Amino acid sequence: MELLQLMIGGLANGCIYGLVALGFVLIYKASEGVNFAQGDMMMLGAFVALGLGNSAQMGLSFWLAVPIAIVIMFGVGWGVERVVVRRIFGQPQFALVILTIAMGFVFRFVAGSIWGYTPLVLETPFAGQNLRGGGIVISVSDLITIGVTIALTLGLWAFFAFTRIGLAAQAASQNQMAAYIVGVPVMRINSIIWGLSGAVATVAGVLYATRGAIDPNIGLLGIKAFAAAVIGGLGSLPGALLGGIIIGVVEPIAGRYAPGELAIMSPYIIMLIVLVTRPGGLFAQMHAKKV
Amino acid sequence: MTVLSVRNLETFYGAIMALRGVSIDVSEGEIVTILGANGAGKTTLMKTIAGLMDPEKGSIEFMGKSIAGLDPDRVVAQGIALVPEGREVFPYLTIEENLRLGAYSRRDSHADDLDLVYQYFPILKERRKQAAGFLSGGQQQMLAIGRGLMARPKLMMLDEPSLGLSPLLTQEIFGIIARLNAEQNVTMLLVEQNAHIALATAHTGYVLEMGRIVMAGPTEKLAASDDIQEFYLGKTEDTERGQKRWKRRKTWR
Repeated sequence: MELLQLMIGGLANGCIYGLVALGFVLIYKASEGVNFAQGDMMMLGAFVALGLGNSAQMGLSFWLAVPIAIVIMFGVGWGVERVVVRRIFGQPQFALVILTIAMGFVFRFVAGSIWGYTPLVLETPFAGQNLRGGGIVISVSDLITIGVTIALTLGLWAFFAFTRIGLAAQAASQNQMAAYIVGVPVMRINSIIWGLSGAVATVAGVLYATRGAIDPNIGLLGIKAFAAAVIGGLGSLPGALLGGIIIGVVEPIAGRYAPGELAIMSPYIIMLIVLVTRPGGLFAQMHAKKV
Repeated sequence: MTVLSVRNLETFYGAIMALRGVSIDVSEGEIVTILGANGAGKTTLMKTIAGLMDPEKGSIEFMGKSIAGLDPDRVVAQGIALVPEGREVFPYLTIEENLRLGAYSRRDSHADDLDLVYQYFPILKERRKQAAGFLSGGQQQMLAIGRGLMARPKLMMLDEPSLGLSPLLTQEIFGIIARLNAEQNVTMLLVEQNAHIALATAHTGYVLEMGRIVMAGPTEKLAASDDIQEFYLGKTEDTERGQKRWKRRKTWR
């Protein structure tokens, strides 16, 4: 029973890691680089939703505040690509790494100066509600987290598989030059992908905030999510989600049964094991690019 | 009617001048070939026309409109499709998705064009649900040409379609290129290392050397010229002593 209880909480946690990892993968595919500000985008998204929704702030209804926050963060992601990332197009990948780390600091500072550094709680209609049955307690926010993650993943999959822009985005990530010459506006697609990853980060942030207080430093969760993305293969959307769930489930179980601080290290231990045994990640794309 | 007219085009790779004032014309319905050795600037010319590289000087006019310096996606929308060197298909997408992406610049229905491509390349229809990365080199080349056709281009540019293909497959591909030109009236600009087959397929030819056009004319005339015979077709004339003359110079220098 105890194990099951831990696993359900871990699953919900893992969904959040997975969603942030999805953001990593999206941007890795579009810009061929890692956006280390992904965790901070999640944090900013959560705070924007909190600023719009909490009664002490703008006081919109939760169901209105969250979509608006998603739209705003889509704009932030889109703008970051448009204004900053596009300028360093063609520079070594390292430039993007440094740039996004710096951007993460900026986001943290912005959130800190607007909302302060004391933890705040996002007001939700389902706060503190639990379902009980058979000796297990499941909080409604856990259930919502899992449900939303499933829905969002399916939505993203459908977007890439069936829409014109989704197909173009796949093409651009597989062969940028070829995408250009068939008429795909690669730059515009990249902007959309950055926007999308901002939106996904916001969903992750709001889900995170439904489960506890937030402060501007929660973005550091992004490092764990990065480990999740690497476990999944840093180029695969289902892999990212699976990586997140693995980490989320192992963490609390290691915390309960393993000695010492092993729980905190567990994401990185798993990452190392995966990197040593399957360097391409669990969902590595199967064949190398032919030259 | 002239479809494409390039005048005094100069393109740089950093400090290296790859095109030193190239001028070519392509008329509607013909196949124009550009011959030249490695590093002559053939691919650079293609890339500059397609918008992948920006020219420093000179003009590119397509159907009377200047397209120099436009982004590649705008150039495709004008009606120029590039079949790039080395195929460059989308490896993880299916063949049909690859072909549908070829029509990305068009808003109208492209079911007819898909049928047309499958008619010319039946093997693609057979394997249309497979990932393009699993195709053989020749099939990928067919896919790349088919993808170019899907844009229903007014001008199709083929960069080195024989690259890495067996002689037999090369003949097959060039047979289809000639058929497309004759039956579908596709105007083509063709870059090719294999001068034999290029001169046999095309109507007009240019010779590009070190970034300059050094010879131009109908392909029959080019094929008959001594310089082309010796330096591109590899024919040796027997001298009185029955030996090859090593020091023979190209007459255009």
